[in-house]
Amino acid sequence: MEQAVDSRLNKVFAALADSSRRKILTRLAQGPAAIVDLARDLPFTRQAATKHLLTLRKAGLVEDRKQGRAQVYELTPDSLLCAEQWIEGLEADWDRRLGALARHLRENP
Amino acid sequence: MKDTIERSIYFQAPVERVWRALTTKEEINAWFTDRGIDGDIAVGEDMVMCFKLSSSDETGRCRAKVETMDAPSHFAYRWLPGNLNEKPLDEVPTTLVEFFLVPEGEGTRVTVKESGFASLPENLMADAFKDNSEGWAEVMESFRKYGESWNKQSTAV
Repeated sequence: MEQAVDSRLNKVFAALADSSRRKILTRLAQGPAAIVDLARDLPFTRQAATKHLLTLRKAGLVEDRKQGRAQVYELTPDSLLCAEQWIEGLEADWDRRLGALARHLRENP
Repeated sequence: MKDTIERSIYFQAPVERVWRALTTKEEINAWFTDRGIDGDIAVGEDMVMCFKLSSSDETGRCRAKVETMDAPSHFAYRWLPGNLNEKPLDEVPTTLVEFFLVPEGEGTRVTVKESGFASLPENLMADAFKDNSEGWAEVMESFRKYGESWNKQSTAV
């Protein structure tokens, strides 16, 4: 659990570390878009947009779906919850440790 | 982003007994740092807490620094949680872990408080950014708004 969340967070941070990808996310926050829309609204080529979208998708920040003949990309809102999930994982860690402490005190009064 | 984790638990043991379990090496090793602690548990000292990760057999190594030892009621240290941190603590963002011990009936109530999360992700993210260009705040803001509208939609459904 710890590691799965850590590795997802790392991917999210790495994906966000690029200003072009941040621009794509900001654009997608206004609504779903196809690659042609992104290439029109933002200062990079379709090839570059495709590459960035792949990175964003692997990080779980965007999802793609077919809409007619076009591939449409949209934000995955719960990816932002990732940081919250990380904290929940840490809460679970404390519960586990305190449980272990309670056992230790019972067995070694 | 919430800033604090808090847990409260009652132990059927006197406060001095619980204090010992929290602040002496061989005792902590029995319930937490099952792979040992390098260094001394003393105010201002750096120590490395080693424990088996819950997800694998690997050893988590976490550098920590004790801030407060007011026996038998307040023990506090700083660390970078949930991670394998061996960098000096003044080079990384940290959270503060505090244990408050209060006698209750024949036992002890312990409250664990870990605080400082609000600044943590931002710093971690800043670390991850090779280019410090603008756009970060906008992304977070738009994500937040998007998340809100999405939450409203899902509660409506």
